[in-house]
Amino acid sequence: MIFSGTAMAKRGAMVNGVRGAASIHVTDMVISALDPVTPEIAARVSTKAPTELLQVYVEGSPDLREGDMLVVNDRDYPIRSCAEWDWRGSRFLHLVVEDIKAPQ
Amino acid sequence: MTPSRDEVRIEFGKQLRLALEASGLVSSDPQQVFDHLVADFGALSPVVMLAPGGTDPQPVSMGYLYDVHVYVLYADEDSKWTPDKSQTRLDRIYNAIATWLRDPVNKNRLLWKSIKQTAPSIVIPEAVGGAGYWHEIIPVRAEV
Repeated sequence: MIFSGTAMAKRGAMVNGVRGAASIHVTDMVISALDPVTPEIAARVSTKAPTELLQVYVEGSPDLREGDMLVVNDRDYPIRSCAEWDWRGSRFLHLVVEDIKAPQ
Repeated sequence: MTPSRDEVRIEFGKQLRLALEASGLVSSDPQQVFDHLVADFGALSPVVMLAPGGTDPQPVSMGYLYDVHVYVLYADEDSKWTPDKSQTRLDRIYNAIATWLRDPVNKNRLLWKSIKQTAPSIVIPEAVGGAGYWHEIIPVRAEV
């Protein structure tokens, strides 16, 4: 696996019951390429938008969780799942993110 | 001339947005009430969106059907946003929408003769982009 990319993550915070736009939460993460989980494009459950699931590995254990946004090349990808993954004595995070096929 | 379904939807969305923003239940910046279904609303909460639900032509009028979609984040540990708070916020947003629909000022606007909820709303828990949300769908009919 080649870790040749970089990414940031955004997270939103609730203030008086309202969560506005997410802001930068983690920077300078080293990641693998964004690869498709499956070749199919499905409709997003909530808004029916056509969506492809992508997966990516992140070096280390940055503070990420489901619901955060992974930012790669200025594009936001909602993180659907986030799992710790040990490989050859090192810790990685395995992320499944949504690539929503609609203008952001 | 009979107003079109999109004209009514856009006006409905505009008036609903103004009412909900004035109530303080949603923010105006960033905008959280939309007159259309937004493919990706990011990390926003709450979010209110209008979707077309069909058309019911009558001999002397036209019924335009819409679904009002309300999303409220279920919980957020960092912000101490708990499930009971999210349920309260969902209840209050529904109450604000129902109050708006019952308001005589809104019942008979320039573009429609009447507007009302046509069936019970439904509430479902749903995952959006990995985060849990309450999702309420309110069916509304505007008669023009």
